[in-house]
Amino acid sequence: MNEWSVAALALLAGLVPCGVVCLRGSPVDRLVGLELAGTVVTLVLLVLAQAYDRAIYFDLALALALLSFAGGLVFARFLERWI
Amino acid sequence: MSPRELAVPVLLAFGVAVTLLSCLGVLVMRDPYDRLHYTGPAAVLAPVAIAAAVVLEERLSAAGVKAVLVALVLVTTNPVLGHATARAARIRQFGEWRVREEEREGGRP
Repeated sequence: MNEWSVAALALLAGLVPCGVVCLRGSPVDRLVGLELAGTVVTLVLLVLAQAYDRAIYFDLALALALLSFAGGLVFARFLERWI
Repeated sequence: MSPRELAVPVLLAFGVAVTLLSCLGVLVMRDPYDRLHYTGPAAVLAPVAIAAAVVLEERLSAAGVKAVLVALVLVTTNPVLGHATARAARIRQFGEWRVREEEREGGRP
């Protein structure tokens, strides 16, 4: 277990507050929790890719970063009026 | 221990600490506008620090370039997402996002 794995484990702890925010509050509060969770998981994948020493795993982090951005925009658009 | 070997764990610890503090900030704050401020450090400082740690360890190999690319995507998309979310919050609250007459003098109601 190297320092990258330890960092990934520590970053995973950050998902707990995001989960709590996603479970409580207004819909927009929950969206903010979801957006932060997307960022945290992107960082976890980034660190894990380095921990496993596989360059191809970095593509997962890149795909998640782009998709969580698109997903957040869609949620924000729908929360404006329809939900 | 060379400066390069020392910098990698320091940058990693900095990135992790910033992310965890941001998560706590989002949990503690009251409304979406305040919460949105705390997504900034997690999406700007932390990825840059972690990407710098990867580049220090791997140089500009495929892994290093992809880590920089991920950091770049997070840094550029987070402000757009924050703006869209705050806009959605205002439209839900007031029916429109523009500054209202009663907000021109003084702060947020």
